[in-house]
Amino acid sequence: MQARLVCHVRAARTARGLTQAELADLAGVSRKTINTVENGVFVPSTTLALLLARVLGVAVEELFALAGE
Amino acid sequence: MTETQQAGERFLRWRARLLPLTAIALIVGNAVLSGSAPRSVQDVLSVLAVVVSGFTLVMTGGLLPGRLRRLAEDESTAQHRAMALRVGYIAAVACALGQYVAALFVPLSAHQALQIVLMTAIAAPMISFGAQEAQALRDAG
Repeated sequence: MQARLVCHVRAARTARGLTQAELADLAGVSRKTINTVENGVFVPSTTLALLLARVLGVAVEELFALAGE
Repeated sequence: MTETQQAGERFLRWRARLLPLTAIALIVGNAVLSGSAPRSVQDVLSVLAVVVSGFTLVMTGGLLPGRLRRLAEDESTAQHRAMALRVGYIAAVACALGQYVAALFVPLSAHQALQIVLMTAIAAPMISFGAQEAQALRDAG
């Protein structure tokens, strides 16, 4: 069974007062990628997940979790 | 939004719009040319130019400079590309199977059959990639 990923990137981003474009710029990806990650359309790679966590100054587990955890 | 982000988005939107048009041009051009024989070198080169430019747009960030190219080739793009290539493979197989059945009822030369399968295999990923990118850009606002 495939586990569902719950994404908290939007909450972490808005808590830091960043726009999608600003986060995209800091992470070196397009705004489209940030938007698809936030909407759960796209599951990011481990590298991008760690990069987003670093940019947002949180642990990666605070950004992504498995549904039901 | 920084200048690089803006330039990257402009390129992404341009590419998403251009790819389906390139695919249509390829299909129409090929259909027109397949009826006329013999073909001139110019005809073949024009089809080849469309194929190469479409393929380049699907597979690479074109001739963009470093940071901009990384932006145009980021993870969601790579995912859309992988899906587009899968769509192309499935379309080519489906097209070949369709032709196999059709050839039982309609005479079809090996050359024509090959051309149709190849065009499908090239055009389907272009359309799919362009549509996925356009959708993601629309969603991003």
